[in-house]
Amino acid sequence: MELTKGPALASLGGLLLSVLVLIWLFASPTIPQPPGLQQNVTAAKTAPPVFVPPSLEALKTVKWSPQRVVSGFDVLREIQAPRPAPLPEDEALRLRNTDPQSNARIAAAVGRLPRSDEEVDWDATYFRYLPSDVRTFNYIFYSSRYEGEVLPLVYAGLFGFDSNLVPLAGAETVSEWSTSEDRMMDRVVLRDDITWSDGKPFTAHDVEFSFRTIMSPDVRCPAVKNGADKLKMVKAYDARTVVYFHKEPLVTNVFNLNFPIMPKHVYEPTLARDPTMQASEEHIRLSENPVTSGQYRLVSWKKGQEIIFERRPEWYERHGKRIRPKPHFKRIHFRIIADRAAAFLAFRSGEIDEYELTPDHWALQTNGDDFHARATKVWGTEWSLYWIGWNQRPIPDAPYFKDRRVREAMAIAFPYSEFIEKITYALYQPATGIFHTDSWMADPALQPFRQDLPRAAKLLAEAGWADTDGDNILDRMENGQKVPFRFSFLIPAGNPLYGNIASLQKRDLEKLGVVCEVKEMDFTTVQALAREHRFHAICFGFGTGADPDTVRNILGTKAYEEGRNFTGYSNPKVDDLLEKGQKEFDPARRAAIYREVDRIVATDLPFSFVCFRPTLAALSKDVRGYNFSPRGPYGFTPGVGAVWKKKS
Amino acid sequence: MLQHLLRRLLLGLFTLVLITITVYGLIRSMPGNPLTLLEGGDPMGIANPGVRTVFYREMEKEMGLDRHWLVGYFNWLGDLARGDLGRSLQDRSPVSAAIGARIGPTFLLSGTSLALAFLLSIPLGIYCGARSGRLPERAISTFLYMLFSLPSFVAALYLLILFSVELKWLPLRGMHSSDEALASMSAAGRSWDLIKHMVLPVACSTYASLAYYVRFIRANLQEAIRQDYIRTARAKGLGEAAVVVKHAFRNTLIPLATLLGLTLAHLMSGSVILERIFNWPGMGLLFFEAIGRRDYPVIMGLTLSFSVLVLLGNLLADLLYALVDPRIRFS
Repeated sequence: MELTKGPALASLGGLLLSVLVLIWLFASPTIPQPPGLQQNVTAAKTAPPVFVPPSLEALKTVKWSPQRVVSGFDVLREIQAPRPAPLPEDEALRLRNTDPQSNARIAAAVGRLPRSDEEVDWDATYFRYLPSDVRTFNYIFYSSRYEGEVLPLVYAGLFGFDSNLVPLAGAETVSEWSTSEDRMMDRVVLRDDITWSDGKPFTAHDVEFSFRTIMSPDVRCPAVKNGADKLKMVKAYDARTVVYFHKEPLVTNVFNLNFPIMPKHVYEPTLARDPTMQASEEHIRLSENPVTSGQYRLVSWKKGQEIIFERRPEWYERHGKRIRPKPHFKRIHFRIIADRAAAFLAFRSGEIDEYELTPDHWALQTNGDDFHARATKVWGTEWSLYWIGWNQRPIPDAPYFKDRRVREAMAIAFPYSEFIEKITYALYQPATGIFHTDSWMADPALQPFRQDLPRAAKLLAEAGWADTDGDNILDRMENGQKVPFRFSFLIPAGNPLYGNIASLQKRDLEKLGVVCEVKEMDFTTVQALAREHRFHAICFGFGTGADPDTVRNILGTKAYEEGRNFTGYSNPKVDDLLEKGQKEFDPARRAAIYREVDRIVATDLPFSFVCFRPTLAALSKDVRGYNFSPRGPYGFTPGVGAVWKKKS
Repeated sequence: MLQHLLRRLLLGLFTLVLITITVYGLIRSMPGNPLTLLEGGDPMGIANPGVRTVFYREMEKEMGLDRHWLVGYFNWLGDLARGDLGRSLQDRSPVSAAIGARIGPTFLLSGTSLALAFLLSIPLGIYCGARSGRLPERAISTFLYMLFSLPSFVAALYLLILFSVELKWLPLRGMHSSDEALASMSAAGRSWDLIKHMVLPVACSTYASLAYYVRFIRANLQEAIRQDYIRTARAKGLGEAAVVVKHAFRNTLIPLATLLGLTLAHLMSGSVILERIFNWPGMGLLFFEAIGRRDYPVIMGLTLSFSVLVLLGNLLADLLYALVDPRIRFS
C-alpha cells in the first residue's frame, strides 16, 4: 500500500487554503484606532509646569479645617443604633424570608456587630467565593472588581467611605486629617504604629513614594493612575505628615487620595533595576509574595484555585496591648470557582460561607429545609443599574436612535412589569432614572417607566418610521434610500438576565414592526465594540460610584472617546451641570444639580433604565456583621472587616 | 523510512508556521485587545471607572498593538526560535511556566480518561460486534447511545449534587484537598485523595468517548465479520473467539490507530467546560481565560503546543499503521 500520496495531496490542499486565508489576512486592516489618539499622545509628551510645594513653615500659616477621622466600626454602630431591637437571633434565622418584614429581621440579625469579644469565634475561617483569580498582589496594578475586593485586606488604606457613601479617614491608620481653606491641599498625619509585614514602619514617605511610582511613565498602572493623576503632588514633610496638593478645588478631590500605598524601602532599590515594576524576576516574585501592611497577610496563593490570608498580630497588638480592633477571622480563605453553578453547589455543601444569588436561586432553589438547615438568605438595596443603551452616534453611521422620539418609543416598548414580576420575581426594583430612587441625587418626581405600545407606535410614526412596503417592518427614507428598522442588540454572554431583557425587548418591538437582532458575545468583545461605538443597542450594567460625579464618565460629551459614554449622548446642559456639580460644596445645592441631571437624562433617554439590582445574599447561619451598601456588601468601610462568626 | 520521517517532519514544521500565523492573524482581528479588560475589568464600574486615558495608548504602543499584526507575529516567531514563548501580557509571568503548571493536571485527567475509554471500549466493542442484534448487545448499545447524547456538563452537575453535596462521598472541586489536610496524610493517603478528586471529572470526560469508541469498533468489526476470510476461518474450524479477536478485530486496528492518533491532541487540550465545573487546573481553562483576556502570548503558546501534538499524533498513527498491518511499507 502506498501511503505518501494521500497526505501529500491533503497537505497541498491545506497549503492552498492557508495561502488564501493569508491573502485575506494580509488585506485586513490593522486594529482600528478611534480618533483622538494622536492628540492624546502628543499631549502626554508636553511637560507640565514644575510645581514647587510650600515649605513646612509656609504650611503652618495656612488655615486648616479638620475633617472626619473615624473608625468604620464606630460609624457602622451609629448607623445600626436607631434600628429596632432585632428578634432573638435564633428566631430571626429560622424565618424563611418571604416578605420585607422577615427580611428586615434577618438583616438585623446577620448585620449586627459583636457585643463583646466572648461572642466571636476568633479561630474561625471565612470562606469566600471568588469567580475569577486576581492577577497580582502588587496593589498598584489592580484593575478588576475582584482585585479591588481582595487586595485591600492585605494593604492598609488611609481613606474610605461609610455605608452612606460619606468619606472618612480611617482612625486605624490616620491621626489627623485637615483641608486647607482654599481646598487645594489635604494634610494627613499618620499613626506611628503601623508596620509592614517585614517589620519596617509604615510612613508618610511610603505615601509620597507610592504616588511618584504610580505617576511614573514607566509604571503601567492605568486603573490606579486614573484618580492619582488628578493630584498635582503628594509630599511627605516628615515620617507622619503628608500633604496632597490638588489641581482644582473640587468636592470630588477626596476620592483621589486613596491610591495604593507600597513600601518604599522594598521597591525603591528594585525600581532602580526595573523601572516598570513588573518585568524583573524580583518584581514578579514580589507580586506573588508581597510585603504588606493590612489586617491580614497572604499565606498561600494557588493560582486559579485559592487564596488564603491570615490575621496579622502586629496589626492589632503591640507589646501585648490592643492598638486596633482585632480582625475577626483567623483566616480568610477565597475559593476561586469559575463556574457559577459549581459555586452554588459549593455553598450548598458548606465549602463557602457566602454566595450572591440570582433571582432564580432566590425564588426556586433556596426554599427547602436542606438549605435552611445551614444557611439563610437576605437582601439589601444596591445601586446597580441595568440599562439598554441606544447608540446615537454608531460606527458605521445608522439612523435609528438619533431621534429622541424613537428612543422614547424604545423605552416605553419594554415590558417593565412583566420583567420585574416574572423574571426577577419582584426582587429587583423599577428604575426612574440614572440615580437610584433612594439616593439624594434622584429626582423624587420621576416615576418608574411603564410599557405603552400604542404611544410607542405613535412616536415612531411621528419620527417618520412607517411600513411603506407592507412587509410588516417599519422603514424610512435616508439619503434617498429606504432603510428598514432592523437593528442589532449587543449583550454580554454569561448573565441570563441580559438574555431575558433582550428577548422581551425583541418580542415587543416586533409588535411595532421593529426588528431587533440579538447578538450575544463574550464580555471582552462587547466591551471593545462598546468602546468603539460599533453597535446599535447594547445591554449593560453599571454600579454606582461613591460620588454622583462618576456619571460624567457615562453621560459627559468628553467621555465619548475616553470614558464609558458608549451611546454618544451629548447634551451641553448636562455637561454644564456636571461641571457645576463637582465644584458645588453646599449639599442642598449639589443635590438640586444632580436631580436636574436625572430629570434631563430621563427625558433625553440615551438609555432605557430597566431596573436596579439589589444584593441577594445566601449566608452560612453563623455569619454576622454582614451589611449592605449602595456599592454592595463589601463596598464601604469597614466592609468585610465587620463580618464575624458567632462562637457555637 | 527515515526519508519518510524527515519529509513528514519538514512538512509538519511548515504546517506549524501556517497554523500559527493564521491563529495569530485571527486573534489579532478579534474585537478587543489585552487592555480591553484592564480598561473595564469591572463590568459594573465599581473598582475601575474605565476611563481610557492616554496611559492605555502608551501601553498599546509598548505592547506593539499599534503596529500591523504581522510584525507581532514575526516578533513572536523570533522569540520562539530562541526558545522563548514570551510572557503573559496580563501578569507578566513566562508562558512556558503557565503551560508547565497546567500540563500535568491535564495529562493526568485526559490520559486516565483516554486509557479508560480504550480499555473499556475494546472488549465492549468486540462483544457488541460479535453479538450484534441480541438483547444484551441492544441493551448496551442503547445505553451507550443515551450516554453519548447526554451533555457532560449536565451529567457533571447532577453527579456533583448526588456524590458531593448529598452523599458527601467525593470532593466537589479541585485536584487536592487543602494543604493542611494533605500535610497530615501519608503517601498512600495523598494518592487516595487524588483518586477521589479524579473520579467525577474522569467519569464525565470518559463516558461520551467510551460510547463513541464502542460504536466505532462495533461498526468496523461487523464489516470485517462479513468478509470472505472470516467465513474461511470459520470453515476451517477455528473457535469463535479466535475468529473474532485474531482475524476480525486485527483488521479493525487501522481505523482505531487513526482514531488514537487524532485523540492524542485531546490529551493536552483538556475540556474547558469540565475543567470549569470541577475547577481542575488544566490547559482548557487556561486557554479559555487567555482568549477572554486576549492574552496573545499565552494563546499562541497553547496553540503551538496543541498543533505539535496533533502533528505528532498523525505521525504516530502513520507509524502504527505499519505496526498493525505488515503489508504497509513507507516509501
